[in-house]
Amino acid sequence: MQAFDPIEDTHALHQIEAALTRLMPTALSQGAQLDIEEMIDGLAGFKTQPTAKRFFPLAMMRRMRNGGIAAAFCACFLPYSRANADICCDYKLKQIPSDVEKASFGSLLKGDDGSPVDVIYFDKERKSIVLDKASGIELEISEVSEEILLATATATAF
Amino acid sequence: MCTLAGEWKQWLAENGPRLLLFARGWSNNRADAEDLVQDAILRMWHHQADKGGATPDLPLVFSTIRFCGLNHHRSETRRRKREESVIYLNDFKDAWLDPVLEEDEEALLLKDAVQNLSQKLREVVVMKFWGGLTFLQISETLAISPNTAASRYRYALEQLAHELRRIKQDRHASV
Repeated sequence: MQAFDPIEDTHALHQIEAALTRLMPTALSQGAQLDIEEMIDGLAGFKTQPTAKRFFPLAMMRRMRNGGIAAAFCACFLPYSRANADICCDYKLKQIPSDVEKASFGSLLKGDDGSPVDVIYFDKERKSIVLDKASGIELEISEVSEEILLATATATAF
Repeated sequence: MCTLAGEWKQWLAENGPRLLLFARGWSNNRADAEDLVQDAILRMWHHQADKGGATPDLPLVFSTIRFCGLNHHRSETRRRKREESVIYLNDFKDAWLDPVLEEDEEALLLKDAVQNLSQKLREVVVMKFWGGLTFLQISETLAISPNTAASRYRYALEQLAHELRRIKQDRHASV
């Protein structure tokens, strides 16, 4: 056993620290990196789903204003989206809004409790046709949004 | 959505290697360690959701990896008991650390010595050195006093120095 020498000992520790700086942790494998990034994408999508819905009327209003259509319609139509009802005195909703699922694909996530969760993405297109009573012009309103459905994965799903 | 996911991906790119290094101490192989990192990030995501979804602080992630590692260790022990007949092979090429310079012999020796440190000492070294945590943050992560964290760090360095000296002396004697 070597005798304790505080000066030499401290010097040795500094040397070790210097040597440690010449080592770097290995990176995550490409597969793991991709897995985690996909998981983050899925989580981010799931989290923002309610937010996207909340902004739906604003986006719709913006498009209608850009199209030069009466903004007053938005104020009347958005709070009362009942089908086949007079939206207000000037406009009438002629067609029930229809959802068109344009595309979907799934991926797999690990849920909070560790169980597999299937994530299905829908590109949803909502179309409505509205009649302007004064001019007799029919307006087609289209709203595209991404929807995400989380379903517990089962053996039969694969 | 893109911004939040982008922030987390950027955070992962910056911190992934140091998280993996820490997770290695709590797993038997690289794949298990990567699973631990993923598990911890998933938990962190939900945890951070209440705080606006910001990326988490490293001490908290280290702590979560440790928690996940303990859980994993328990289930792994049970699994091994069930599968006693299976022979497990070590992947000897699977390194935790890489030398910055290829020909750095001292760093190569040190790499193995770090892996061979006891769990208690190694996790302090990893958090301090590659995680950049203070002794106070380490103490909070491991639920020990800052003095204990500091003394573990110093003891680990002493062990590494001793090991390095021993290997060099052995080599010198054999020449």
